[in-house]
Amino acid sequence: TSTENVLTKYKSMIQHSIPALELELSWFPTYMKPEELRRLHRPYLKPMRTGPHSEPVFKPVYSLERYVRRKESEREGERQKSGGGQVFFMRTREDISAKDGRLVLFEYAEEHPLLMSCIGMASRIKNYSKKGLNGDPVSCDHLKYGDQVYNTSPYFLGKLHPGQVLQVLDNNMYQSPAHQHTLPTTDFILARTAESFYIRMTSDIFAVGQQFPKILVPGPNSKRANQHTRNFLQVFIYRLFLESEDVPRRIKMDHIKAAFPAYSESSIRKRLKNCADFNRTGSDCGWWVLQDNFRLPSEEEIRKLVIPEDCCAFYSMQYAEQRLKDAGYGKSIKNVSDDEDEDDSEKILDDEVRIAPWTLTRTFSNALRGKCQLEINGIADPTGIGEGYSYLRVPNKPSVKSNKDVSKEKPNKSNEPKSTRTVMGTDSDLRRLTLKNAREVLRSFGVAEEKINSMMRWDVINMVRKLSTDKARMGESNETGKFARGAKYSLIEHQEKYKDECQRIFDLQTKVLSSTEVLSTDEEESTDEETNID
Amino acid sequence: MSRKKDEEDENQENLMILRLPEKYAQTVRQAVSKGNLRERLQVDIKDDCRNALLKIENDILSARIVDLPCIVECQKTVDNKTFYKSGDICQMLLVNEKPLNPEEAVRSQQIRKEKNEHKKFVYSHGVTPPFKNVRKKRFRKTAPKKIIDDPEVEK
Repeated sequence: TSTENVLTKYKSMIQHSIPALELELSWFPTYMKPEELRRLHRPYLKPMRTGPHSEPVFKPVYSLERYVRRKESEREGERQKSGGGQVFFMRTREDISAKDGRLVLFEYAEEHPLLMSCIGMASRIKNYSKKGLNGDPVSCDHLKYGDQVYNTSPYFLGKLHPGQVLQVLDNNMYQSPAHQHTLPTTDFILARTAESFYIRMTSDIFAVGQQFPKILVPGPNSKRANQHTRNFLQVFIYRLFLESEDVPRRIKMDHIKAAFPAYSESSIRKRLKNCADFNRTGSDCGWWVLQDNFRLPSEEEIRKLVIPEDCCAFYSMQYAEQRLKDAGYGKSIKNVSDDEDEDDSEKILDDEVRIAPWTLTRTFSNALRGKCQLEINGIADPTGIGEGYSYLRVPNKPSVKSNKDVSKEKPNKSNEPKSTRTVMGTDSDLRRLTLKNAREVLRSFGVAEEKINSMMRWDVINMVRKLSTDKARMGESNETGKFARGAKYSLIEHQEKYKDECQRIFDLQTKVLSSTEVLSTDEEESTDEETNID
Repeated sequence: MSRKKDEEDENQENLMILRLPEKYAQTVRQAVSKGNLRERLQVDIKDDCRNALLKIENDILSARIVDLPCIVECQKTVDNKTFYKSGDICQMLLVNEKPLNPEEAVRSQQIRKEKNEHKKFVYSHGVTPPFKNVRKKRFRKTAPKKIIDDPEVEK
């Protein structure tokens, strides 16, 4: 069931590190307190109460150059030994450490990205290019990172222009355009471990654009979310049994309760009962002992029950929920539909709740399957200044609503007739326009008398609408402007416009995030400089 | 898996960006690549995890730990194609230009709690050029709920 969440078509060929697949507890917490959720992916440095860091003295910072080289040659040796092919090196926690290997930084454009990897998870860089106008393929060989991808386009709302090269950060949860920049020479990576400090250098940093999600974030208390917590608990229990060295294998309830404090003991017991028995007496008194006839799943099997992506999606939900609670929307979240297929868009929800990740990921996936269109310009745009997409739903068909939004967004550019006001019951209601008056309008447009007389009422009305609309579109407004109906332009026209708008934002984002121009400093910067001097 | 979470936290590498003044950066950069950094760079982070002192060769510099606006992922690669996430970076150790004179240095050994105002440690700029002033310019603002409807609001 877990893979159902991934849009399999876009699944990436990557393998996470082994500790990530095993959901290493410190990277995939079973439970987070509100303050931990607020800092999800923003871990602050905390004081250390014991060890060398608790002493108020200068501590040396180590350079790891020699260690890095040694590790590199060790890996190379192993590769040679295995025949020189691809070797999977990320097997332990230590392998994931920033102490060795080449380090590359990725700076995310979004303040609250929809989905983020946990430590130990893998991503790839894919290099896309589009043939030049002369039909010659464009090489990506000059790029330091990534694999060139042929014959496919990235999974984006915009297309590449002839000759354009675009790098993309890709994993099983999202794709994002990634633009390489150079880390200033004044900047280093400093790491604090329990024992000491070390320093690493890199010059490579990518600016990562808005995410195009591939998986769904579950809604709070949704079926999917509840299923995840159940599976996560089950997996935790299986692994505890696997780790047990006793014969028969046994575990303690307290262990589970400590990891899942939000769970009641009775619901944990429910999970335990199907594989273990509680002993009240004897040498196993107080222990849950694995049943004789229960076949404990192997580690490989357990890995399939909960994949790292499931956890990330769940954390994203928890993080958003915490943020909404903090902003005072706690009660409004409860109105969110539990049913994944039900559409929330008709319900009256606060904007902040409407743009929660569970809605946006679902809408995006629906739009990708052609079920709806995206709002594109609107409140869910994470930049707030029109440089990103708003993944909120609008119907596929041209509608009064979508026109209204467009004309509101860009009052200057829009030369569509304003057609959104209610016409019912007014003198511009076409249904109430009498045949006599309608003919009069046509005459004012200069339509030939014979033609007017030869038409039936609705043909006349249609013509009134068409001519008024044309006229209004050309920017002429007069008495007949009230009969103009903007929403009636064709479906194709509507879709073209949608595509153009998607492309416009795509190009704009590419331009902004790839720009290396250092923007002029403003007041903010100067006050910053002042506080530098203590 | 059964190990305690707090212990794990202590074992975790805490990553941050270290931004040195231009002239010290050069010294450190050369030393790191030559592999003779030895005791040339030393750090003492204060208990508040906001203020710090650095010793670069014979100079003592004051520094503070600021919060970066964007999430920065530190990923490692051994083949330049697949990247494994090593950690999240959200803070920067920002080192001041001018070295302290010896008296100041002694004084700043003491923790200055009173200076620990939150605002001072919020950094406006991302690391890459497009994210200059990103907090103000590019992040959509969350609209606060006018009437708090949830009795369980966590402060």
